[in-house]
Amino acid sequence: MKRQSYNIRHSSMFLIELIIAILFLSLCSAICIRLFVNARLAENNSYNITQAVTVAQNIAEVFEARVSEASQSSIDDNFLPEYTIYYDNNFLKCDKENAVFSADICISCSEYLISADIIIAKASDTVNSNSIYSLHVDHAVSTLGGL
Amino acid sequence: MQLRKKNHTSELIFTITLFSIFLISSVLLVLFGANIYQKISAESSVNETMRTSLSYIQEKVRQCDHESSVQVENHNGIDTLALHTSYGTDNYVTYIYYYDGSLKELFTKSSLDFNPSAGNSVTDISAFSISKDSSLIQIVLTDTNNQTHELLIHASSEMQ
Repeated sequence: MKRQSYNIRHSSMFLIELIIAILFLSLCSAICIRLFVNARLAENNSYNITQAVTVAQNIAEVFEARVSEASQSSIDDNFLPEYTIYYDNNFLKCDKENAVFSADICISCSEYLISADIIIAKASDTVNSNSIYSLHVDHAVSTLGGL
Repeated sequence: MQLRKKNHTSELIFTITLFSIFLISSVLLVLFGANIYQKISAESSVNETMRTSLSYIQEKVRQCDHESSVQVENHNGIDTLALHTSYGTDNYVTYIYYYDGSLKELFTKSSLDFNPSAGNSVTDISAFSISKDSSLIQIVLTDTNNQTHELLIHASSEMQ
């Protein structure tokens, strides 16, 4: 009888021990999953910044090329002061409806300097809030023609 | 006596079930963690490789950006970015091209024939295309995850 009582008590103790272990595991799991999710978000963020840098540099190169071409003859009226290019999730060009990211290009010029501000942001964000990457490009020109 | 025995059996089953849940959860957590780590590691590795490759091509073009030295040439049906340089009286060319699943670089004398298999591998990619429009060179790389990366380079020497 005594032995049976000892077994039951022992079994209950094991059960309590197991429940405590499961609670501890749940707590650790919650922390670990949170860390995994944060790591995934950080990785996504890093990918977006890398792509945004490449996109901004590409735009800067096109700007340099077009301004160099134009400064040799004259800058035509096709140079708009502001452009917006839309990109999808993989930073491929798309239309405004499917856009996830946008590149806002603001062109300004002074007497011998033509500049561009390139801002890559999430398409839902306004230009100045939460931009992923921004790049300023200056190009010195001898003659600005009709701009 | 019978009831107590039955009670003890159900308690044992409950304990074993709980222990199984504990084991399965632990294994799932480890698998989930390993999977996420593997995925993040693989993606960041591809991301880094592509970034390095694109920067490498960009720097190569900048380095050789003299008059008519950056050309897009087709040899034996392979599109190459040909960067011409001269050392002393000899003319050399660096070809950057896609061959046999990788981006390759071949530095050779201009007078020698283009041999694609002789190039050194820079990185593994699945597609590569190159085109030139006036002073703007467009390079499109597809990585091993089938992600497309575009690089535009303005060859300023072409404007002079």
